[in-house]
Amino acid sequence: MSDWLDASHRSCLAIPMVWRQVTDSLGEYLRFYIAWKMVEGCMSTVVGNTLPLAKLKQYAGTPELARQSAVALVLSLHDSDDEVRAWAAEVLENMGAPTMDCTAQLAELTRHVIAPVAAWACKLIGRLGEEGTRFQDILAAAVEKHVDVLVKQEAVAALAKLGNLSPSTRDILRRAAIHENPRLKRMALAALAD
Amino acid sequence: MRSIPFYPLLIVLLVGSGSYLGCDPNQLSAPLSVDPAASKTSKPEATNPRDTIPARTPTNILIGSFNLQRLGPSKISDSWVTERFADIIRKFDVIALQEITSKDQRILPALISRVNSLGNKYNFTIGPQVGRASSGYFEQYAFVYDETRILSGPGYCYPVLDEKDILHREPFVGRFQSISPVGNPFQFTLINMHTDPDEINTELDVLADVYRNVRQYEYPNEDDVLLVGDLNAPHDKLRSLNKILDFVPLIRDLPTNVRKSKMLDNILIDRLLTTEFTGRCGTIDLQNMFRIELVDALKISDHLPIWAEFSIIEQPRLNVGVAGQNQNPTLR
Repeated sequence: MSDWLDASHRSCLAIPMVWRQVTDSLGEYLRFYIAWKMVEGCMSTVVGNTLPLAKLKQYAGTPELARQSAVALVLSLHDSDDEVRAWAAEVLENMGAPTMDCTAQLAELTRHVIAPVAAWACKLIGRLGEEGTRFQDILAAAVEKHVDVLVKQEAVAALAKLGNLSPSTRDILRRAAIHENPRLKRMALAALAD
Repeated sequence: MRSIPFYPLLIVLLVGSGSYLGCDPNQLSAPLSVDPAASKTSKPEATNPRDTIPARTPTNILIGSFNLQRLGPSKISDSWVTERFADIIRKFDVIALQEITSKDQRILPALISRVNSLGNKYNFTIGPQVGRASSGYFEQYAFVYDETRILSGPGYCYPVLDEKDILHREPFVGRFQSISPVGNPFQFTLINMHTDPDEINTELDVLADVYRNVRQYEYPNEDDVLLVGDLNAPHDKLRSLNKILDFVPLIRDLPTNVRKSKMLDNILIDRLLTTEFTGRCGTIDLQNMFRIELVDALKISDHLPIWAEFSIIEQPRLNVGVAGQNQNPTLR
């Protein structure tokens, strides 16, 4: 009899205990979710928002619109989705030079820690040709200071397209021309020869 | 420390992740529900014979090239697009593909399954991922061929080594041989290439060296070396490639993009050695082929497939006698 009472008593107590564990778990999950969203929000503020795939496909067919969104396109290269990155690169490859109102932000992005973002920012400035000559110090800084050799390469390639390089920029190119990376070395020599 | 119950948390996670995936518009790409042919009031007519590809016959083979424009999960999940890709591939004996950008290696097999769903026997060889991390993506080349008419395989394909890292995307080379019950089967080598428009001058010049090296590597077993792909340049702006004696682009004065505004893709042959070329080549106008509007054609690709017709058997060279008499239907 006492065993039966004990078992019944335990089962009555067990239901609220399970329920409490469930609500505690949900609470913890929600706290974690809110914290994650805050981190995500901060991250997007730092690195910028990426464009959705549908928008990128639209831009692939409308280079004139894409040129105005060069900054958002470049930032899309840090998206976690491979396909978003591939389509962002597709648009960037085919859109030509960016509009001049994007150039200040692109110049900022040449310092970006994510290599494809910084590399494409350099490449787009290079497409400005002579109009981009005023950004040569920015590109020269990317050659000298960016930690990723792929960004250095694109910055050198961009400088080669600008022309009218200053003596200080040419000095930086001369230093790049003795870099251990063969592609950087070759591109720097080509830029100096132009 | 308080333990966290596993099952309630699992349910919450599953519901949470499920709703996230289900609501992501980028992941969902519904196939077109309306047949574009049925929705059109007037059908575009083929006006230029170079816009249409001849049929495959017992005496010819059709070699092509097609830039698929970012073949990835979203395109392959669109059954309308995949069916159009399959229709295009079935027109060819061998087709060189560019811009397979998916990391998921099930994408091309899925496409080939669709091609073979009508009873065809196509197979493929896919290259390694090529490109630079700084561009934000990598791509793969592939050769797709009809096994009932062409011999090839992974053992007959190789990527070109580029130790100095000059080319953005190293070319992919494949060797092929026609299956012909009569005569000497046509043997040929294809160099599949997608140039980088930002470094076009350098790349085209280096590509001329690649062609010479591949020819030298394949010679004397092979004299028919064809360069195919998205060269991002018109036929008369191919720089060093234009300077190679008798090496000629087949696609001339014909736009190769869907918008009909640019010449990007080409097939180059040695006109004295590759006498198997019948003289017929061109593009496939996607709008004409599928009776669709420009906006729908652009869902397939921004490039048009290009093609050239060849004899299924070896032909005598114009100036250096007859090709070998090997009748063995295995690749040398």
